[in-house]
Amino acid sequence: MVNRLPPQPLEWIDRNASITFKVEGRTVKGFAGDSITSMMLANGERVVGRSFKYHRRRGVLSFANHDINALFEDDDGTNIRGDVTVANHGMDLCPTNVSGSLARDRLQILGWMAPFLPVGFYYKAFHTPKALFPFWEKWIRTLAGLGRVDVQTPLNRISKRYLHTDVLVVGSGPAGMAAALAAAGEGARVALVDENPHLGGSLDYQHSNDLDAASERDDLKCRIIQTPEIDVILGGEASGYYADHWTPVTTGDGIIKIRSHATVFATGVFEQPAVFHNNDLPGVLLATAAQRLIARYAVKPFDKAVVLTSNTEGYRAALDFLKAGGEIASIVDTGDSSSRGSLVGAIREQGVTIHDGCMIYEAISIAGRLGGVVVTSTNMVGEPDHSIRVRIDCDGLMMSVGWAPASALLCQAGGDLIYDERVGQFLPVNLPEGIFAAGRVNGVFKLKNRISDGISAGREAADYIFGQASELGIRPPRATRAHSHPYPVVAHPKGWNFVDFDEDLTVKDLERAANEGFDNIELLKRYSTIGMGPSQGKHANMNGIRILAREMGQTIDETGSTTARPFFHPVPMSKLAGRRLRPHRYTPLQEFHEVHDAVFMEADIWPRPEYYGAAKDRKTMIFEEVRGVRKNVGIIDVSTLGKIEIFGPESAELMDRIYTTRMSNMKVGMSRYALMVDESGVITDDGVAVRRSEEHYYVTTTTGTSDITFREIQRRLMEWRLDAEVVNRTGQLGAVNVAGPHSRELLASLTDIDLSAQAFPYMGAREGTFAGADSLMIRVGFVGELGYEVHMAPADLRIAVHRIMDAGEIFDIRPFGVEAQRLLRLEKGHIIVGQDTDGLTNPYEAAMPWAVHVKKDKFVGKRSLQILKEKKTRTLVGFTLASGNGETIPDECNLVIDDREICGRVTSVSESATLSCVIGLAYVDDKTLLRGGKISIRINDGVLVEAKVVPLPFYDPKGLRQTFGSAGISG
Amino acid sequence: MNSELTFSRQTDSAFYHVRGSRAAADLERIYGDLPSRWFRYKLLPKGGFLARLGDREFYVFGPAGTLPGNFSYGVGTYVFNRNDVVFAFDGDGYPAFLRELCAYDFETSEPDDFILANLAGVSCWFRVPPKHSTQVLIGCEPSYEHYMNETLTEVLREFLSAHKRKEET
Repeated sequence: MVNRLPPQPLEWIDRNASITFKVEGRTVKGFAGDSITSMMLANGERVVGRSFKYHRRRGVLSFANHDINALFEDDDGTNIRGDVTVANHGMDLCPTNVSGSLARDRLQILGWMAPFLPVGFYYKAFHTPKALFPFWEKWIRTLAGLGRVDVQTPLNRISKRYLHTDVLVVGSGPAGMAAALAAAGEGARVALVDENPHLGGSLDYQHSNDLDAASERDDLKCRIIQTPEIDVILGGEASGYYADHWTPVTTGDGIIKIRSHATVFATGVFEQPAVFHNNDLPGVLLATAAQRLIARYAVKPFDKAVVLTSNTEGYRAALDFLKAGGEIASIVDTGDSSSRGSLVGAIREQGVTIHDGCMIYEAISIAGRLGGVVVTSTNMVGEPDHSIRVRIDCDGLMMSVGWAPASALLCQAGGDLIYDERVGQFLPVNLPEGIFAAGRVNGVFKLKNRISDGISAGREAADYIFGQASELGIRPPRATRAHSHPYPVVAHPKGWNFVDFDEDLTVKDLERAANEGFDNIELLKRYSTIGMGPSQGKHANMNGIRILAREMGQTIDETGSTTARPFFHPVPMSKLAGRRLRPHRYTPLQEFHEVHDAVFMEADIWPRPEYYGAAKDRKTMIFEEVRGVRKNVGIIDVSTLGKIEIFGPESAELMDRIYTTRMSNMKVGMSRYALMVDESGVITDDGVAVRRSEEHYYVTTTTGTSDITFREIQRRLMEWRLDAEVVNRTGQLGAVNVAGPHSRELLASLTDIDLSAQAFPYMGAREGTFAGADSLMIRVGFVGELGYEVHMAPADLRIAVHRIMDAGEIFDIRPFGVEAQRLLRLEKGHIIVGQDTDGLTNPYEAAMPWAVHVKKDKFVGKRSLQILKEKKTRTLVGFTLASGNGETIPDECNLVIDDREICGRVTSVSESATLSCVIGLAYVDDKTLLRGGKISIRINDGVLVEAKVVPLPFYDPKGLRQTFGSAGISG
Repeated sequence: MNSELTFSRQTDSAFYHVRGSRAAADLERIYGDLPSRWFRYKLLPKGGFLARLGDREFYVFGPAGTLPGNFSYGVGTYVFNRNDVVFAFDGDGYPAFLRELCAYDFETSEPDDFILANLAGVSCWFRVPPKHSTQVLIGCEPSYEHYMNETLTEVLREFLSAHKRKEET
């Protein structure tokens, strides 16, 4: 570890625990607590990655979780951030965006092709000739993107939990710690979140050698630890801000969704790079990156450094580097060093030369890494003046030219930003209620002021949640002079002056984009992709704004900044997925289905038997189930249907308004088909409505719509203020349908209800005991046979079904599944809402005008249906195919073709188990139907098959079987 | 936190959903004063409770017979049996555990709160522990029994083992 320093007072590494890992097969040695790249640098490596577009050598830049050129992958994951990811013993890593090796990358040749790959080239190229596009597509897919998705990655269920607090403080630097303590001191529960594994923020690296700061640091940290009202969450990134103070915090253990009553953002600032020729050479880094390496990891990043600075922070960084044993070749101050305060004297005392009013013109590459810099003076408008030009040899350059606020979360919370020329930074204004900013993000730079600002923000937050008035105007002053250079960008005829290190964008790229008309910051972003890489512009956006402002002759404020959207920081999909909770519901008869060897299918969130007989042929079993119902008797579990009770003095009025059918004239003890449409007349649900008493209805819904329908009825009820009530009993009750010619005979022995045709007619409903328990029976015929639905409490239904099966043995009763039910319904021409309807279907198109009682006073969708009735252009019709071999049977959604034009589509189709032909339903344009009784269907392989349009239903057109049961059969 | 947070199923209880314009008057005749505010409950003998969900809406829970079968309800009172699956968590760490699956802040709930909230993606009711108790009752539609049982068991196991690891370190 050639670059490892002696122990530093605040270092994060554990020197008692040595570890090793491999990168590209090379062994790297370090200590527990090291990050991947700190270990690589400690071992003398400089190149830690390759750039995205041109595959240029890249070193570390910020060491602040935004070094996206230092991404790695192993068998467990991809795009692992080397700057902050703690190295584990035994890791075997590869750099992410490398073709070859870090030292020799084959795609480095792309740098030579740069003139042919200007900004937005992919919008302009590859269009012609079309025949070549597959080649380009393959090439683009190979080169574009970062990382490799391993679809074999094992399922990893990660917790996603909640936390409630009074005040959330984001950032545990001096302002954040002070805010947390102040809020807790006022009696608030506080959550203090920081992305780093240790408290302290910049106190621990920018002030690590500052004796005045040391006492503040110790005091703040000590008090935080001793305050039980503060819940400290370290290693957690506040990834976004959502309405009502919801802040997801991404931790190593998953996402914590924090709900607070007030939020203090003490998120600090991002140091910004200077832009000059070759500013991406390994060895050029931000001053704070060097300070982080020294203070946290005890790594000396280079031996001999030049410091480029526009503020006092650069001088402090220079002193830290000197203290760590480094040599400062020179300090290049973009302004006047005499205005930088006492630190300048300390630098001069060590014999360091300071070049005032100068900039770095270019960095010099020696063997692919920094070998020196060329310094020029600047004129009155900050442009290089080559009359003075000095070359300085060095192997490191520390840039300290300014800051950009970490204000994304503040903006997501609804705050505005204005650019303050005096501070040289965007500052928050017009913060919404309950949102507070403190510290450098708020433009407060002096350490003591940052702490005071934090205290004020914490108190304001506590006062806000406790409903007390805060004292206004007690915040400390913001910085009175700029800590940022107004335009740290230097033009160079050779280019390679990078603005965005994620996307390899140079000054020329942005200037070209602006000149092509992308003259708005949002347009510039989308066209050039500045700020769209993994670091989301944290080091690029500010300089991008400056360049655009200068190109357009605007101020920074006039240019504005891009919209900050969640996520502030990339969040792994596995953490977003959390535990992958996927609720499912079982009917009371789940065990019965399993015992009877059911093959299950998903119906909404219910597993329903598709058919019974897993070991046998699907089609055979379905047909046998259909024939069982037609010839004998079958039983199907319909517990998944929605079951809603509607009652109260105005329940009949409510029913009339909700459904298209008139319900108020239904007799007690009868049921009626219930069709529901929305305001636009589109079918949304259907079921059966039973009138249990004058003021009490019981309605069923389709399986997937019970909750939606219940909510819709409740909403309407509140809107209309009717004196009625509604209860959703879907899961509280189970139900079966027993259908077939022998159903009456079978069920009569199990109930005290008179099932005779006279006493219990078709569409009748009766309440009584069934198998010894309370039940509601409805005589429905939805499969076209004599049938009864039995609704009961779940436990009672389980017993009842066993009794039915026992009693039905002599009738060869068998359970039937959803597929058999679909076929039975199709034979009867009954539609299935959701399959034979879509988001545009109205009842007239679905050939159900009989279900719309337009003479009713009013009901949902009435006006729309009146209009739609006159404008109908298509109709759901039945069709048959004479030949039934498998190859020519259409699929659902196959198109109906008329004169080479699409004129409809198939919604349901199957071989009939009862009739010797293929039957189906299809929407067909009325114009086509007028031309004759045949339609052409284009099946999957493109062949047209001819089908005959026939009247519905296909089976028992007079409905004798369902109305008269066995009498109907004999009749 | 009590790491001995226990989890059990409550069975053999009767549960009623009482609705209608006369519901409050009828229940008052049986149980005396009712909770005056919505989403509050009062304890009934033998571990039962009566929760108020609205002006005209109540849950009554308890052993069989808690709601007298022979009671004469007025016109305008509707009684529906509920067959909810009911889980009991006992231990003062229940709010921390529920944070794993529920967005509601149980730290701030009062001893007589009756809460309707979403737990693990399922609409549930929560009877927070009464005074001098640490047992929270959670109920949902019976069709979710398998899912909830599976989910709560698994997450509680993970939660307790994580808590144990934390204590050890």
